[in-house]
Amino acid sequence: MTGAPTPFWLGSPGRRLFATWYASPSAPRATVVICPPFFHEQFLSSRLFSLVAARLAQAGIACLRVDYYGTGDSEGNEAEFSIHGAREDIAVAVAAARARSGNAPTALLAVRGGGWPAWLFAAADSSISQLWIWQPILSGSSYLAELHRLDEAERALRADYPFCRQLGSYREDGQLVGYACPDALHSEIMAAKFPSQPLSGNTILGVLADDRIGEIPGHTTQRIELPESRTHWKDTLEVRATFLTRDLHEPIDRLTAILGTPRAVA
Amino acid sequence: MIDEIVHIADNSSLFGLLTRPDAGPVRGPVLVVLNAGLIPRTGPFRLHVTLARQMARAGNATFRFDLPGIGDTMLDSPITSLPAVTLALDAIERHLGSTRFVIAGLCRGADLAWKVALHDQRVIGVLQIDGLARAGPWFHLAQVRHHLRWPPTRWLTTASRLVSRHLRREPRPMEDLDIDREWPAAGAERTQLRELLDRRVHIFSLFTGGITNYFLDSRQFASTYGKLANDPAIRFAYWPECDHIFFSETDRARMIGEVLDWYSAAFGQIENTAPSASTSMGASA
Repeated sequence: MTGAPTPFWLGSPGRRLFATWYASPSAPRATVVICPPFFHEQFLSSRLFSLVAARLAQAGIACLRVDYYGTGDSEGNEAEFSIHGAREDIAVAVAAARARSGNAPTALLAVRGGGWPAWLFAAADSSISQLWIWQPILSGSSYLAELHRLDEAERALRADYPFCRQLGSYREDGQLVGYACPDALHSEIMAAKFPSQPLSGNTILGVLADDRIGEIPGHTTQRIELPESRTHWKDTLEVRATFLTRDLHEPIDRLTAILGTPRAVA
Repeated sequence: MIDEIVHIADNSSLFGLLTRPDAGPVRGPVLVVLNAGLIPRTGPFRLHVTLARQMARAGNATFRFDLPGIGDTMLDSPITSLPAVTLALDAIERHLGSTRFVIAGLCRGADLAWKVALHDQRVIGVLQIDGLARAGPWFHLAQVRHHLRWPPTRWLTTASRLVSRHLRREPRPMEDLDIDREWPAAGAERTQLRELLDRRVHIFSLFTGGITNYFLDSRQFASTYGKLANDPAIRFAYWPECDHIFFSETDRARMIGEVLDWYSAAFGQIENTAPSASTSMGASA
């Protein structure tokens, strides 16, 4: 069936990762590994990036989506997730994507916090042709502040329900937006930033974002504007905010064109 | 514990994950977890993954998959939700040899679980979280009681908001009661419940405090289903302190513990295959 993903397992026993492969109808012009965001953003955006992958694949860009260890359908529990672990998972996913797509150039499409492990990987692997970051988070500390705000808002929301038990704070239960966030992960996110390490001169860096997100310091980036109306999904626990609407087709098709011609200018 | 990918139907993007014990036979019926509304098969905050793993530790198998139009399942397939679940049961039956199933769902998933149970004779249990209940007098009484406890300031702000809404011709809050759910005509649920109980289907109906638009009082359950609500095959729980999507890890752990307890009590002595061949109505309906 056209556009249908093929599910499979990656990695080694004890650290098996769940992945889906979106084959292109003919030999792919490029292969993209989609690096998902973290916490609630992972399940909220799952449908959106499944549809993005299907659209890219239809246009000749094969895609591999992967769940990091401790997230989604992969092995491990949430408390075992880490950014450096996610970087290792991306390495496994890239190897699998290359094995499936032959000589096509390999690119990464990282979403939000997924940009950090993707950057770490791309900085160490000069064969990554392009690194695109969807709504990049420029600083870990501001991301944590954002997460804590949403977490507190969700906890406070219970006051609207007459009988719901009031929940303590993150400090009391170690849960951030419904997920375990142990101290080690909290510190890792706090220290995350762009650019963490220099990217290889061979790797094209691109950003998909609305105009509220600025440039990545010290790097020339290609840029595809996302409609502002479609970038608020991270601020809510409402899954409807992540539907693939028609106004996203144009940015995705522009991305397809650039991925298919690696040296093109956006 | 083993996670396996099971393809549900050829020529479709339908697949799911079967989580089962890594050693020994699968005990009892297979739990099939439906999507909670539009949330992918992992469930809110990975609830369905955690549930499946705990079930496997207790010796049971759990299957979770995305219905058409949700998660990884594409929409360009002619298969709709109910037939998709039937196909899923067929696929597990082929894969595992199980012919007995328990269908679980939260919110809209609970509505679909109920429909599947009515449709498919292989279903011997239903777990519905925030499923069907009619508002009725107990709901309205609870609503009045709740409003009477409001401090005067809240009365004033609410009155001001209502006046403002009226002037702007916005819908009134009470129109929340036009619940966007796939429920049968009022009263039909009793006949349907009778049908399920006659088939000896076990039902666990859990309500949370997050559905204040239609459930505020535990007595609503009995007023919805009548005397049948007291049948020993039914377990009912009302957790008003818990929210609709189990935001708190504590609530998730409690819910999973309760499900494991129910499973053991209701199906502990039941094998996962029927004595005779499959009696699926779904496949022939």
